[in-house]
Amino acid sequence: MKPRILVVDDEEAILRAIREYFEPLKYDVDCARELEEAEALLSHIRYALLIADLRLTGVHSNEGLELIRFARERSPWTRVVVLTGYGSAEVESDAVGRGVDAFLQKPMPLARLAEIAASLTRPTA
Amino acid sequence: MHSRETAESALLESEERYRAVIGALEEGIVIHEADGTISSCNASACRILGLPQEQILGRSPREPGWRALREDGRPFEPESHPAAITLVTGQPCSQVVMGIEKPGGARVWISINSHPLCRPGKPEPYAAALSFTDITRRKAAEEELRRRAVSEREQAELQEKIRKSSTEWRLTFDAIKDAVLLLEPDGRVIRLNETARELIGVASWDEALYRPLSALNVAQAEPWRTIQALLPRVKATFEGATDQTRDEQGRTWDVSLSSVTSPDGQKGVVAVARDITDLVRLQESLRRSETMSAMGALVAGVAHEVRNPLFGISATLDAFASRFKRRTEYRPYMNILQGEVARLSELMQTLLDYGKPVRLVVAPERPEEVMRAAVAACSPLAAKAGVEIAETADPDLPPLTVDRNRIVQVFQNLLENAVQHSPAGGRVLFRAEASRNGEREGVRFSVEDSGPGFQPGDLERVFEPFFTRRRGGTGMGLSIVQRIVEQHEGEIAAGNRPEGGAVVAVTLPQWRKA
Repeated sequence: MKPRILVVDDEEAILRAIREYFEPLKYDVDCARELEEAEALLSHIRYALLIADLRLTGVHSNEGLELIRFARERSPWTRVVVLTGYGSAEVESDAVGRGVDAFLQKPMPLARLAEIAASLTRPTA
Repeated sequence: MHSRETAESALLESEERYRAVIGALEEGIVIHEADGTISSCNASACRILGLPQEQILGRSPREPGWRALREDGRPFEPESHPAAITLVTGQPCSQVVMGIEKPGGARVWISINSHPLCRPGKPEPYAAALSFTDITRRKAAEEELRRRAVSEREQAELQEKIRKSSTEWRLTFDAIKDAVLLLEPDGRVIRLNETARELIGVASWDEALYRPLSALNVAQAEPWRTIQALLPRVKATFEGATDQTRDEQGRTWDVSLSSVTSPDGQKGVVAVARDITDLVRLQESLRRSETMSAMGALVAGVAHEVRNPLFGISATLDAFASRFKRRTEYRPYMNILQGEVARLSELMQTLLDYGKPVRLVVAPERPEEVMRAAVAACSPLAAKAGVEIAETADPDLPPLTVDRNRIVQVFQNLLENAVQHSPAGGRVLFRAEASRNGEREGVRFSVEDSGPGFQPGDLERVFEPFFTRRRGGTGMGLSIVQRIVEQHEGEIAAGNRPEGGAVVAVTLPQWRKA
């Protein structure tokens, strides 16, 4: 069975690129642009990995952190990667404190993101 | 009977003779009876005292018709009067000085000798004979001498005071760290202090004094040229003038001239040249740090906003490249696009680092260790470029107060720059030596390359953000380096070696507990 990934970002181009890059690598990829949508998906589907930006609708920077908290509580089996353009040292330590597996900065080559995703979803492979 | 008459006549004759002798004496003679009263006096006594006989006779030390004074002006007590002493003790007194102040106020000074007159077989005197001479003129002469001595002493003291005061002024003048010159309005040097003498570079005062500034060897050098340039204005308006200038060594001078008038109406100009290099450097550093924090916030904000769309582009490109990797005709375009996106990403990262407010984590670090780490980080690049990095450090360098990672980054940037600017087979010298700037002790590091050096006009600008002469460089390297060095309260300077090649020197403070 292919690992299932949820990608959460408010930029359509990013969602599309990640989906197109990851599907040929044998992942099932779902996308969400908003917090509520992402939470609904996390509640119903068992994801191996969540790749989420911190800033979602562009108003607050804490929606991503809220999503991380939600995922940790409701979907403890999901590994979490933060991929953001706004990462400060404070936010990073906050996110890591909430049990994030990796904190990554945009922009980043998708090949590198794929390596990290693979190490988190197929540790024995 | 006859013999008695003869004896009486002889006695009379003898008495007459004595009286004549006494009357002819220059000295004044008075006889004090046992009770102190004056029973007789000679003509000289009247003359010296300036009193008629009747005003002298019958007087005594207790009831004189005048005031008797001691030399210091105090009254002469009756019991200390030589007549009284001789009458009481039977002993003579000699050269007792006494002032006689007559009722009119006139004063004479006399020197008195007293002799006891005794009857045979009786030790106690029945009278005292006093002889005295007028010493008023001698006293006056002595007084005059004394006055002169006092006045000479006072004059000597005054001169000594003036000399001391002048020495004090001289010392003060010389202790001033600014160069101070007193000039005539035409520019001739009247006075200069030690600092000025050293700066002008003359071994002795004579080489500069009373010569026009324009005739000195340094006439064309700063700050002396500016002083000469300001002189005509001060001369014309008698108002002060100030200017700032920079000399060949890069020192900044504040030059100020003011017009002075001496008590005798002589016009002069006081010129003061102050080395304000450190002040200017501090101001520049402060201004830079203010600009930097404002710019840093802007740059970081922009960089953040750019990163999302940039990632949109790079991710789309990655997906495109992955999907169409078999389409060789796309490959050249993809390579260019990916290369440019990578460059843009790197620039964004650099800008973010530059704009990021940093909190240093300082610890005592050995200079040699920091150097070694930076050299190790650069060695792959140096090997590839065929450039040798030679490091030398003085023994016993003090530990530094630095954030190790950031300072390693500083030297790594400087070494990378030096390697990139050196020709293959060239050499980069990385040196460390102890440094002391006033109270501040530390270590001075220098990175010298064997490249073409900085272009002279660029030296002022090399630390500006985005300033670069290297193709593909962001121009941020030296700005970041400068920023980190200044955060460490260090100093950085760029220049060229006389034998060619660029040199960048970084001075960092030695370890001291905060």
